[in-house]
Amino acid sequence: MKKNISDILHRAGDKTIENIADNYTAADKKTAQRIYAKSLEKMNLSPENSETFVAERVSRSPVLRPILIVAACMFVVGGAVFGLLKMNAPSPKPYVEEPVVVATATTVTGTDTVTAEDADTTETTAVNEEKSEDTGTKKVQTTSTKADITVKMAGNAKTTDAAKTNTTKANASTKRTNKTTAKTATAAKTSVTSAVKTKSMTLAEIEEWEDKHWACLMVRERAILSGEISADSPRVTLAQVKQFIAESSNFDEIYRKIRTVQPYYDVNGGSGVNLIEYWVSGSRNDIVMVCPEGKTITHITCTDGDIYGNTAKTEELYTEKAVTKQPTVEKPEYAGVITTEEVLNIAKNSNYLKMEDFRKYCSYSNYYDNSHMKFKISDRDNWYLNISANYDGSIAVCSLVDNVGHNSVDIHVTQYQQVLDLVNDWTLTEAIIAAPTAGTITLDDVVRLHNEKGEDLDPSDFSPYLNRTFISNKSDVMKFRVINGATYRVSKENVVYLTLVPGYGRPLISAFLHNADMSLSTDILNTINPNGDYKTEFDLLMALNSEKPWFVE
Amino acid sequence: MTDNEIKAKLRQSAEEGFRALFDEYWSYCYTIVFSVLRGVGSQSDIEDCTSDVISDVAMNYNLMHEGSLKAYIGTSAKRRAIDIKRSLVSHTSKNVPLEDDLSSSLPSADNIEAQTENAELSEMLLARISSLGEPDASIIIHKFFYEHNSSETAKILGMNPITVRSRLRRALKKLKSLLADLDITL
Repeated sequence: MKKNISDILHRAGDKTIENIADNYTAADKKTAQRIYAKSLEKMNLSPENSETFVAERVSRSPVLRPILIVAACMFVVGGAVFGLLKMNAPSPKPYVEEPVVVATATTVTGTDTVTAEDADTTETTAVNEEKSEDTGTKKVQTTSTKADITVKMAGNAKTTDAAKTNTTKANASTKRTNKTTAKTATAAKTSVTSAVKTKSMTLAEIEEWEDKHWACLMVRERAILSGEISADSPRVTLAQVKQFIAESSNFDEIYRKIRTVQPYYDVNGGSGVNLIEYWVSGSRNDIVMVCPEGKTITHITCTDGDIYGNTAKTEELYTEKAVTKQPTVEKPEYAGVITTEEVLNIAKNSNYLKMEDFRKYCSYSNYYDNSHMKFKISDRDNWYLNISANYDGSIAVCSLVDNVGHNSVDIHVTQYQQVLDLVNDWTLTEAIIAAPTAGTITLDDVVRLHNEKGEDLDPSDFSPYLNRTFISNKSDVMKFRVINGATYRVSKENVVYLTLVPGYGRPLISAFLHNADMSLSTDILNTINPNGDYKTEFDLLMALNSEKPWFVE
Repeated sequence: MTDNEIKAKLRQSAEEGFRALFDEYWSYCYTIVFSVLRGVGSQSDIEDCTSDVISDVAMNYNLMHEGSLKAYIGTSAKRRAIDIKRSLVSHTSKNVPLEDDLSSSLPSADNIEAQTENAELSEMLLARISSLGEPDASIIIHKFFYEHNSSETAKILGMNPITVRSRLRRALKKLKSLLADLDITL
């Protein structure tokens, strides 16, 4: 036996109810507000900005109860009877004395030119839609001769009492031969009304139409069917649409005006975009199509109701002007890239530099700027070259900037050798900071090795302190973390490293202690004064009694 | 909003806490009450019962309790709705058939089997309805579970009644094909 959805859902298990309760909103906001107000009332919390209604209990005497019930029953029965009587006996409409003229005919004899005066007979057919008790409808036919005069001349005009039958018939006895008859028919007021009346579609017809026309919804007909608008509610006309287009400045304004005239468009079609159809002549053979997304209004005519068919003719009434926007070229942060070698070459001949000299380093010709440019150093991380022009176009500033160490040098005014040293220094600093820790060594061992080996310190002396997992990545530097020893303890303020810089002329170019950001460093290898008492910077610091070395606790 | 947040709000301010509780669970509570009182109570009865449950939870729920607020509300709503249903039935008809009264307390083996089958079927049906996607699923649920007409559904979902009708028609077509193997009619 088949079950229907309602039955199943109404007898659903707890789990299904839970799911429905969880996933679907049960009622509208008004219901929620009512429940909220009731809840607050029960909690004795008065909701803000809301009225409180206090209902007083109505107490009635038990003696009066049967009387009240009887009275109520009588009132209900009386009301029902009165209602039935009203339904069966509608109030009689007043009798309309003047029939509605629907057609007239005039007979003229003996003349070629037909004028009102030549008319021999004038026949008038009238229909008076008056309900009578027996037939419901009474037809009145009147035939009169040439005005009142003709009636008098004929003498045998037969007139029936108009009050009884409402019919008058008069015939002229002196009809001549060779009659010329002219008949004029005049449309009566009632017939005009019936012609204007629009036939609305049934739901079945609407659905059939929608099934035939894919993705189309008959909005107007559905609104008529649901009683939201009447069948003869106004449609927008083509002339109105053209007028709206002429007097409006943008699409939204035009569309708003169209919607004001006809809020319920005829068809909403389209897939992806809305294609709103206004049937300006009442059928799909002459439509105005509005596409709100595309902001276009089109007039389409056809003969077979198929606006996309072969007979369709399209006239574009409005389209949003395509604004050609000039693509805004954002000035890039870097005009181009340059290597350190190229920078050093520039530094060699920096006295006569001009902005034009840097054009060749620009990535694109339009990146060239004769006032200011910034070049990225391709073989260094976050280094760049800053160039600014003087008032006469010559170079004012040409600074090489190390973004890591926040160092910069103006290569335009600095000697080449100094620039080279700085570049090497920055490069080394960056390399040391970026280098992984090769191992750990106590400060006691550093002091001991320094004292034992002096300038002959060799990288192999540090091999016992290398981490087992350390793999040299062919870096030029080797960095050890210095830790507390039995005699010397490392500073708590700074993390201390010992970095070895291998060289080719001797075992090590340099070996020095430094902190994490290289702001503090002490060379333990190179002598600072060959003739002095203190061979190295390290010796000097360790010997000073006035202050503690920065790396010692 | 989580249960803990609602409880925290209830501790701080009764009004704010109740607002949070209400916003989170009114629809849930309403649905459970509706499922019990459907066909017995009026709209007003359902609303009264819902407000009873929520206000009762707001006033009497032990905020130190660690359990789920949702489960508590669900159980309270169901019990309260059953009580009201009994009360309404006893007022409207003097003679309650004995088997009706006993049916809930002493289910027979056949009843249990039928209930289980119905529960399974309803779960499958809901899953197929949900597979229609939104807003079609909501429209179907409002039509067949809440028995709302197109205008009421449109108000709840914030849509045009005409759109609701047309979507319902299309959704039913789809659903018909989805339910072909379950022997369910529309």
